[in-house]
Amino acid sequence: MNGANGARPLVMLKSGQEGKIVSIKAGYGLTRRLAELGFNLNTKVKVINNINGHFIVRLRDTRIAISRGIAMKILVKEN
Amino acid sequence: MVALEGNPNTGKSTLFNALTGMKQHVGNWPGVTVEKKEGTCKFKGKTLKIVDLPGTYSLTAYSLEEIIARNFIIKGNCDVVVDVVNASNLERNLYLALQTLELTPNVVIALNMMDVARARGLEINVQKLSERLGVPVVPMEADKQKGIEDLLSTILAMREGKIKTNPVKINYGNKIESKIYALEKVININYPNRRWLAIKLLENDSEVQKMFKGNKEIENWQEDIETEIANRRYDFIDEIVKEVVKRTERKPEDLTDKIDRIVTHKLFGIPILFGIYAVIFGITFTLSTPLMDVVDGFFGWLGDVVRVSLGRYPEWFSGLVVDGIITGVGGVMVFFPVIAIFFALYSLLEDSGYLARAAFVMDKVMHTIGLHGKGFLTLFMAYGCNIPGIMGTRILESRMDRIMAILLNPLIPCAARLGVISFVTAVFFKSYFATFVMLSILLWSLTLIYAMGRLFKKFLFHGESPYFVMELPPYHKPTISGILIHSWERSKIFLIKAGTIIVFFSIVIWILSNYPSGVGIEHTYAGQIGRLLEPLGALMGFDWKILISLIFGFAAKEAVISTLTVIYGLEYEEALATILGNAMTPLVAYTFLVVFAIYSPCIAAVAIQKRELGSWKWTIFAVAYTLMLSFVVGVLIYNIGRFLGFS
Repeated sequence: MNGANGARPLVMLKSGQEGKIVSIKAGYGLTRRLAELGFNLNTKVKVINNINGHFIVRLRDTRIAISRGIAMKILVKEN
Repeated sequence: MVALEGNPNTGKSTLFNALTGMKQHVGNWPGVTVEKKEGTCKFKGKTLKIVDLPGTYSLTAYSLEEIIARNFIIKGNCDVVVDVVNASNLERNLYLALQTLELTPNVVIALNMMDVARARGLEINVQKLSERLGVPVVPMEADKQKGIEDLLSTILAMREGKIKTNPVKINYGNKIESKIYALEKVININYPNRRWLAIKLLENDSEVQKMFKGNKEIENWQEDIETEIANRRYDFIDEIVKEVVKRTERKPEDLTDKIDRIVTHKLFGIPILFGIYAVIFGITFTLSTPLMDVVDGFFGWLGDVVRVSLGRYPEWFSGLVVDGIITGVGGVMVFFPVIAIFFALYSLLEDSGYLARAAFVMDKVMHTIGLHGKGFLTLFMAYGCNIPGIMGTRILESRMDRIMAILLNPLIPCAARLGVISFVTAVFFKSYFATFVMLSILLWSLTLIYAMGRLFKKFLFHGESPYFVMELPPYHKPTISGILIHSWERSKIFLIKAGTIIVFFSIVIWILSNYPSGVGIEHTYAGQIGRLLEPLGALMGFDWKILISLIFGFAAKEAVISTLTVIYGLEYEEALATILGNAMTPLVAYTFLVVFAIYSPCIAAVAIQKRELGSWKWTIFAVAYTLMLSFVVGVLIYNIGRFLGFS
C-alpha cells in the first residue's frame, strides 16, 4: 500500500517505528484539531504502542492516543 | 484580576491551588455548564483575584471552553494573563502561548514542571525564551511551591505597569501576511487589535465573522488556509525551540512508556483496569465501614438525646425533628465516608495519569455504544455518587455524547445503592453465593448500560461520535493536597445537593408515612399509594410494603432500608434482617435487588440531570426510561425465575 515517495499511512507502522508526516487526509475539523495538537507537515511521529485499532504515538515530546481511523488518515514517510 | 490559562496537563490547577489555597469558589460560566473557578491570593499586602480559565490547546471558536477562555481574555478586565506552560513539552504549549500573545500583550509565561523537563534531558534557556517571546517567563515547579513568589512579583509588577512587554509577532510568510494586510484594511470596526481579527478571519473563526455582519467585502472573503496557519505557527515554534532548548541524549524509552506498554496492552489492558477497580472498591469499603458505623452511631445518639430533650413538645414535633430531619440527615451523612474515600482514590488515579489510559483502553468498547472513551470515566465516577458522575460528563465534547452519558449514568449503582444492595444480599444469600449475587447485580448494570447504549445510538442519536484524540500525560506522583482538594470538590457536591434536596424529601416521606395520623401504616398516604400500585408490583412479586420503600427510595436510595424499618414497625434496622427474611422469598429479593439497582436515580441526581441536560424533555425521558426498564427487567426476572422453579 506504499504510495508515491514511499509514503504510507501511520496505521502501517509497528511499535517503535518512526516517520515524518507528509500529509493528513482528513476532514476539515479533524485536520485542524490535529494541527493544533502538533500533527503538522514534517513532524516526526513515533509509534509507542499499537494495540489493535488504537495507537499511542509520541510527537513533539508528548504522548497522544489516536484511534485507528485517524491513524489511517495520517500519511508518513519512514526515515 | 489575573487569569490563568494553559493546556491540560500543565499543572495549571496545581498552580491555582497553590496560589489560592482553600480560598476558592467554584461556579459556572454564565449561561453554560462549564466550571468556573475563582480564588483570591494575598501577596505583599495586595489582594489578587485569580480566575482559572478552562484548559485548552488553542483559542479558536470551535469549543465552548476555548470561546470562554478567549472572551475572558478579551472582555474580562484581566490585568494579567498567566499562561501556564509545561516546560517538558514546550512545542505544543507554545502554540497556545503564541495565540495568547496575538491577543493581548499583558502575558506572563509560567514555565512549569522545570524538574520534569530536566529529568528528560531538556535544558531551557529561560532568558532567551523570554527575549524571543517578548514577555516575562518565570521558571517554576508549582507542585513543590517553587517559583510562586517570583511569579507573583512579576504579576504585580506587570499590573503596576513596571514591566513593558513587546510580544513577538509571528511572520506567517508572504502569502498569508499579504492577506492579513488586505483584511486589516477592510476591517471597519473600532478594535484595538486588528491584526488578531484579520488572522481569525483567515482561520474562518465563526465568532469573529459574526462581528462583521453587513461588511460585504469580509462576508464574501473565502479562505481555506487554517491548517496552513497552524503549520506556520509550529514552524515558528520550531525555530524558537531550536534556539532555547538544548537536548541531551534521551533514553529511548522512559518509565511512562514501560508502564504504558503494560497497562494499555491489548490483552491485559482491560483486565488490569478491572483489577484496579476491584482494589479501589476493596479499599473504599474496608476503610469506610468503621467510619460509617461511627457516623451512624452518632446520629442514633443525637436522635435519642434530642427526643428526650423535646419530651415536653407535642409528639408530632419530636417525631418530625428526630425521625424526619435527624434520620434524614444521618442517612445522607452515613455515606459521606464511602464517597470521600472513593473520590480520594479516584483523584489519585486521575492525578497520577492513569485515568487517561483507562479512557483509552475503554474507548473501543465505549464506541460500540456510541460513547467516547472519556465517557467511561463519568460512569466510573458514578460508583461513588451519580451526581459528580453526571457533572463529570462536561469533559465530553459533543452534546450528543453528553446527553447519552447523562442518560446512562443512573444505571450505575452509586455507593448508597451498593450499601443497600449489600445489606439485602447479606439477609438472603450466604458467603460465596452472596458475593456471586453482588457481582451479578453489577453485571446486570453493565449489561443494561450496553444494551441501552446500543438502543439509544440506534434510535436517538445518529451520526458518529467524535474521533478519539487524547493526550496521555506522563505518569507522576500525585500530591496529597491535590488529591484532598479534588476529592473534596466532588464529595462536597454530594454533601450540598444531597444535604438539601434529600433532607427536604426525608421530611416529605415522614409526613406521608405518618398521616393521616392514628391509622395503621397501610392507611397513611404512603400506604394508600403503595396499595394503589400493588397490581403492578404483583407482576414482580412485590407487595405494597416493598413498593413504598422503592417509591421513597426516589428521595434517597438509603431511605429504602429506613422505610422498611418503619413499615414493619421496628425500632432497629438490625431486626429488619429477620423480618425481611420472612417477608420475601430469595427470588423476590433478587428481583428487588436488580430493580433497585437500576430504577430511577435519587431526586438529587435527577435535579442535576435536569441542570446538565438543560431540558425537561430529556430529564423526564431519563426518569421514565429507567423506571420502565427496571419494571420490564423485574417482571422478566421474577417470571422466568418462577418458571424455572425458583421461589
